[in-house]
Parts: sequence; C-alpha cells; structure tokens
Amino acid sequence: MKHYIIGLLSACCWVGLTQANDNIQVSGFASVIGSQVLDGSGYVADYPNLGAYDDQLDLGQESKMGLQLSANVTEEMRATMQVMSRANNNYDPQVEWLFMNYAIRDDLELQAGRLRVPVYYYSEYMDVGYAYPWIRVPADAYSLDLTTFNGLQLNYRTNMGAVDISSALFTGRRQVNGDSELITGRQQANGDSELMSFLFNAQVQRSFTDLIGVGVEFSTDSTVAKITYSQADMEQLRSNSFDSADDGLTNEAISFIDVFVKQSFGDAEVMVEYNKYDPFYISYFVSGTYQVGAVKYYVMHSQFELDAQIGGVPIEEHDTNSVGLRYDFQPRVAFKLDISMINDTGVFAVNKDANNDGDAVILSTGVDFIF
Amino acid sequence: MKNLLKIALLACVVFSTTAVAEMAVIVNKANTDDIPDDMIQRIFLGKVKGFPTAGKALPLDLPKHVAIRATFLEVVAKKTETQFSAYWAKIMFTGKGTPPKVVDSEQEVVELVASNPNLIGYVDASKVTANVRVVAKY
Repeated sequence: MKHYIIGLLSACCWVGLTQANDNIQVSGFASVIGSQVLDGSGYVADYPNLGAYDDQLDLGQESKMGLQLSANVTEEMRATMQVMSRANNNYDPQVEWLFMNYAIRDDLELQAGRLRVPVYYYSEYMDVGYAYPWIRVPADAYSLDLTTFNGLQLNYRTNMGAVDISSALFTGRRQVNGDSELITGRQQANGDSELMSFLFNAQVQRSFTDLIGVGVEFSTDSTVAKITYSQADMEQLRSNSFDSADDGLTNEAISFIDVFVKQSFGDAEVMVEYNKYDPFYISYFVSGTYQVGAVKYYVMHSQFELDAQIGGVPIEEHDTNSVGLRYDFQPRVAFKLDISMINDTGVFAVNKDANNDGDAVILSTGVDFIF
Repeated sequence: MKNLLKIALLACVVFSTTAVAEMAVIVNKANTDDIPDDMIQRIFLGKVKGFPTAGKALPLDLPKHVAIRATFLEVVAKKTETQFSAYWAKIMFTGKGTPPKVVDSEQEVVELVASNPNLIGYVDASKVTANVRVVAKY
C-alpha cells in the first residue's frame, strides 16, 4: 500500500514536471487482459511474472501498466526510469528499468543501471503488448525467470547498404534479495524465486553473477535476424523440496543462445525464434501473421522441452497452438483475441488439473495501449 | 484485351498523379550535405542521429490529420500508422530513443527548420519557402 501511494505520488510529480520542463518526457503503456480456461483446469500464461488462470474469467493476472519518465540531463546524457504495476504482483509498483544513457558518439551509446536482460528478441519490451501482434509473448518460449539485471550495456549501430546492424554488449549481475519467508505455491514474495517455487513447490533462490552477453541484429525493411549469446554463474539455494536430496546450495555455469528471424511478404509475416538454455532446456516458437485492413490475424506454435528426462521422456515438456487477432481500432489502442491450446507431454504436468494431463484450452481477450 | 490494359494503365497514371501530392524533405540552408533517401529514412526512424557533416540530426513529424503525413509514412518511413507507432513504442520503452517531435503544422515545420541547422522535416512541396533547402522530393 505504501509503495502504491509512493507510485501515485511520483506519477503526479512527473505530470507536474512535464509541464514545467520540456526536457522531461512522460510516456506509458498498459494492457488489460482477461482470460478463462475453457477446457482443463489451469494454465500458467506468463512465466516470469506468473500469471495463472483457472476456469473463471480473470482480469487480475496479466493486466499491467508501465509509466516511463525520461529526462535529458545534458545533450549526451539521459536518465530513464520505468515503473510497472502488475496485477499478478498485487499491483505493487516496481522499478523495472532505471538507467542513464550516455551517447559516446552518434552511433555508440552506453546504458548503465537496472536494465532488461536482452536475451530474447522481445525481452526488452515483452510488457508492451502494443508492440507485438499476440495477446502475450509465446509462453513456452519466453520462460526465463531472469528478466532484469544491474549492469552496463553498450549499444552500437551502423549500416551496410540497405542493412541496418545494431549490436549490444552487456554485463552485470542479478541477486535475489534475501527473503527468508517460506514461499510455496501461489503465495509468492517478489523476486525471481516465484516461478521455480510455483512449479516445484520448493523455495528456490537464485543469483546470477558474471553475467555477460552479446547480441547482433541485422534488419532491412522486410527482414530481421538477431542472434544473442549470454552466460553467467548461477547460484541456487533450494529448500523444502519434495525430495530433500534436491535441497542445498549449488553453483552452475549457465549459457543462453537465442536466434530470431522475421520475414515480411507484403501483408504476411513469418517469424521464428529458437533458444537453448544450457544445461536446462530448449524452447522455440514459430508464428505467421496476415494483415487485412486494421486487423492482423495470427497463428502461433511454441514449445518447451526440458533436457532432464525420466525414461526417455522430458520431465517438463509442453507446447501451445494459438490462433488470434489484433484489431487496431484506434491509434495507439489495439484489441486482441486469442484461443490457445496447451498440450503437456512431460512426465509431470505443469498445470496441475484433475486428470493430471496438464492439457488446457484457454480463451483470452485484451486491450493494449500506449500513451 | 489490349484496350482494357491501356485503360487500366491510364487509370493508374491518373490516380497516382491526382491522389498523391508532392512531398519535400527540407533542412536548414546552412546544411549543405547531400542526404540520400536511405539516410532520410534512417534519420526519421532514429537509426541515424547525425548528418554526414552538418552535426546532429533532429527530425520533425506532423500530426496524423495533416494530409502529407500519409505520403511520409508510405515513401519515407515505409510503415503503416500502426507499424510506425509500434516501432517507436519499442524504441521508447527500451530506452533507446524518443520519437520525432510532432509540431502542429507544415508552416511551423518550415519556420523551425529555417531557424535551426539541426532540424529536418517534411512538408507538402507547395509549402516550401526560400528560407529552407529541399534535400529530396517524393
């Protein structure tokens, strides 16, 4: 509650400041999303922040709003803060981004502070529903629980003929603030431990250090291709596991590679993204869209496959097939409709339903806007 | 069949000359750089932040109701209105830039460009005055 008031106060201050100073920009984005499981009894829609649905219509899982304040300090320096309030986090405002930009040259820029880990193609704006066609980023393929880090990112931009090239180097760390409270099921505290705790009913705390990564994106008017590689040291403290042998402190070197390609053919567009999280899993999605006037129709298939197996079957494995549409009925406002069919083929179902097969059909609708 | 083709072609020509007004991209007279079409596009999409020799490049945009903006989106940005705002949402909310400043009218674009060597704008070619330099016409 206290945070909420502070958030509101800051929002008011921002508005006040905008009127006073031309160097300060206030912008924002929001999504109101309602979903309901039509068949099956549960569905985890938003892995990193944990949006979980049941057979009742629920608008309190993935709905969210972000406010961004950006101030030009000098000609080369800009400070940016983005605060987000998410339904699945009790609407508590949280700082997602807080950084300085320093323009070293026109084509070279340094960002320092709290940033989004840019591992997936849509990582840095996965909360800005307005910026992509689907009701949500493909759930099976966007499941990394590490979403923000504290560190540095160097962005370089150039072009070769018609091809734009932008690259990023980033390094930093992310530590889960020590929360000694026992976290189980859906009663989470904030932090990266939420997802693991939900899936495994254990208390899992992770910290990532020596995070370092590089991403390169090539784009033309009709094609985008991006490859990202990152690695880190992951320390994990696990307790209260189903099998107490799993409890304890472990250290692991992790790496993450991601490849994204998008090609437009006039009104049609095809995109595919594949990632491998070593030593844990692979996931990918493929999607096609078709624009008719103000409506964009889409189909999407995404898949998640854990490396660990029991009897030749991945412990966790699931895929989603979705059809849906985006209707741009007003500038800066998009209405979306989606039906997704989830097929769980792993040893243990992620979405625990009555017959324990994890399969579900879910209907979602929402409105995304930017301002 | 041949006649039908001729009529169709003629219709295309008539349609394209009457429906689309000529658009001019303008800079300050102190800016003497040659600015190729692909660079103009990159400046308006925030991918290039400076002119070849004339320093920082700051693009100006117009509100949606100004007729020439449709031409700008089609020939310079090469994006639909929705794609253009989604594109800028992505840049803005990842802290990598801010969209072009939107000014009220074409007259204002001409006046601002005439007084600031860093600005670049687009207007209906008929609105161009002797106080600015045209770098491209579409």
